[in-house]
Amino acid sequence: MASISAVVSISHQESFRNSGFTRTMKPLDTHSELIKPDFKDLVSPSKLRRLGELLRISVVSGISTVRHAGWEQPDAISIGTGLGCLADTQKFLNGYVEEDGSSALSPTPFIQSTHNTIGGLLSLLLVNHGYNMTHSQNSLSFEHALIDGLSLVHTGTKKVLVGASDEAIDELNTIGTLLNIPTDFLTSASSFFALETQDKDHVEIYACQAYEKSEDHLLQVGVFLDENGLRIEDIDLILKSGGRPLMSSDYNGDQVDYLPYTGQYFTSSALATHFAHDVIVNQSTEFGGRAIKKAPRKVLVVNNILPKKLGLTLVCQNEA
Amino acid sequence: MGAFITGIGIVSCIGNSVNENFDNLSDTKSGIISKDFIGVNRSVRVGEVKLSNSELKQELGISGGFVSRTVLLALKAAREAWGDQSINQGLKTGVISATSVGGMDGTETFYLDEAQGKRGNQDVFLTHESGCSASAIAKELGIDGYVNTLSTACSSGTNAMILGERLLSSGQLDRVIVGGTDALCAFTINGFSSLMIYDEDWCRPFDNSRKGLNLGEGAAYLVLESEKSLTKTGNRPIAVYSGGANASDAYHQTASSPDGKGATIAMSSALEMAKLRPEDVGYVNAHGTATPNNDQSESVALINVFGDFVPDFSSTKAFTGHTLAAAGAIEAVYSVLALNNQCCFPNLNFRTPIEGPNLTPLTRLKNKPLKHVLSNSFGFGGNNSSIVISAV
Repeated sequence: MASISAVVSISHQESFRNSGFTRTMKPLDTHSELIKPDFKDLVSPSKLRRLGELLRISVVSGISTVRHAGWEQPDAISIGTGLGCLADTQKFLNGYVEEDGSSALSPTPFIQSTHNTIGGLLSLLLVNHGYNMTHSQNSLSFEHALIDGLSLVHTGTKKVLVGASDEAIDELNTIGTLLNIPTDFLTSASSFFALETQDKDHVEIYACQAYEKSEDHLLQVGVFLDENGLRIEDIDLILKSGGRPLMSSDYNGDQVDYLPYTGQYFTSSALATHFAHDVIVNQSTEFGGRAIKKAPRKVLVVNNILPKKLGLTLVCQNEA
Repeated sequence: MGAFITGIGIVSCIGNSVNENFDNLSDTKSGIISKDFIGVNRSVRVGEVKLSNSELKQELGISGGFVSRTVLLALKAAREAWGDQSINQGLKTGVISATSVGGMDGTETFYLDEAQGKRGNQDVFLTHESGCSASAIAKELGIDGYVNTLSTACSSGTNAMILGERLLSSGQLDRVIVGGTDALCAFTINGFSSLMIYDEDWCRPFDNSRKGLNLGEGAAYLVLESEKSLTKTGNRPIAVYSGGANASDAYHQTASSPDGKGATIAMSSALEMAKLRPEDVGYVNAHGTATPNNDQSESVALINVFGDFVPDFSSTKAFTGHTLAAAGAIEAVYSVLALNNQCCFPNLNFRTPIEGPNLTPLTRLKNKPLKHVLSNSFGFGGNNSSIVISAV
């Protein structure tokens, strides 16, 4: 359990420092683009000059989260990324494939291809000497970064910056087609959360779990809620990945597919968790232009974008 | 704080098992050879595991489609570490693996094939992402809950141990198999070459003439258990993880700071977590990649922490090559072997101390009473980790 003292996303939605954006946001369409804020307000352009797009949006949303939380420094940084900096990876790979093992390759894309470049750059730009971890477990990378963050808060670390970033490149469409995987609305995005020990004024991450293999998601949701002293009736809104209903028709709350709003990427549940925070903080009765039954106090994010893998993140209004 | 180590498994260029690795360390036999590598425009010195992919598949009983070498190496080492443990004992069991490039060995083969007009095997993309090794281990051992992968470049394997211990101490898990894996690939050989830190000659850790690293490949895993877990499994600990810490250097994206700040914080915090004083450490298995920058910075950090009394230390990278995300786990296994055999391993190819810090590593196997070993792993992004492993 940890309070969210700030959350910032750069995505295809108006999610950058824009509380209440979930009320009227629209599903992505073929014209949707990454909505980028003015970076220079937060990080000097000289420091961003050689960085690829994913690194730019990640360090800007990370630093913005730290500032917005009013922190001098985080005590720890925990990042999740499913595929890391793909554009740089592809650039370096093409370099030696096309040049037949050239000895004159630029090291920059190699350096930036490393999965922990995001966390490393944040430590550099913030001049932060704390714990710095990068989790990369396919569609559960964000949940694992969050579980690490919650565990740190639980064991006495006061301020933890948790983030998730992934990048869309054209090659993913080609590979998706080769492997016969749907590739509608592949997007890049980055979300960061400032987590602290419980504070009554803030919405909190109540619990998070990641399951490598879940045969029955509904059963697993029940076990997860039970472990946290809750029942399904306590959940006002379920944000889930995919169109199929998770709950039967006698479930009283709303269930909404978040993927049309986030787009497809391995850490899309991080943006869905930002959505959950946004609806609770604003006590919205509208999500993505449609009415929801009541202003939610407890929202469950259910990520099963890969069939057997399940991530559950419970976001709650602090009741203390 | 702390966890019991009850199983170890390893595959590296100096052996396909724990025993083979120990024999070659004791006999000072390096596994690094010079060879041609597809996608690299010259012969390079590499530490290659002496098993082909098809031999690994046959030994592991895997048939059918493409499996990346990173996954095959992981499965082999994890199987040895796990031994004949079983899963159904009411214990929360997890997997934390580590890798830096995941299935890049397969992915680059696809592109290299296509560039030559051959049709690439698209199945390689199914095992590209980093989490594949952890998922494969979980599937093999029947673990379906907490299964995670860390990717913090060259410190990843050590970080898997640090996170694993925390999840045991906080009660989130009772038992966890932790470690790392990385296969050789042109991607990393060309990458370190582009940074001008790939030595065309034998790598020479802590030597004044060092020019860079030789890459290696391999995997190592360790089984960590809580006290509660031991009462149920009945396993006998072979060593104890007593503490560890991760810290950021915050100096440069690839280079370590000249004052060794991040490394100093990592080592000091690891000792603090283990409730030990510097003089309690009998042997340091250093990161010692043989790059001019790392060994200079690590030497300064050793002096920062230990003052005039730097303990016996060595880098085993001249045996194995730098195995990236596997390195921390491989060297954790070597630390356990050092404790179990009461010996410190030598640092090959050393002649002259580095000007300035002037430290001399062990150059021969040294038998001595040993209670606590410190193991260092430092990665890109200034990601610095140290752990302390102690005798039972």
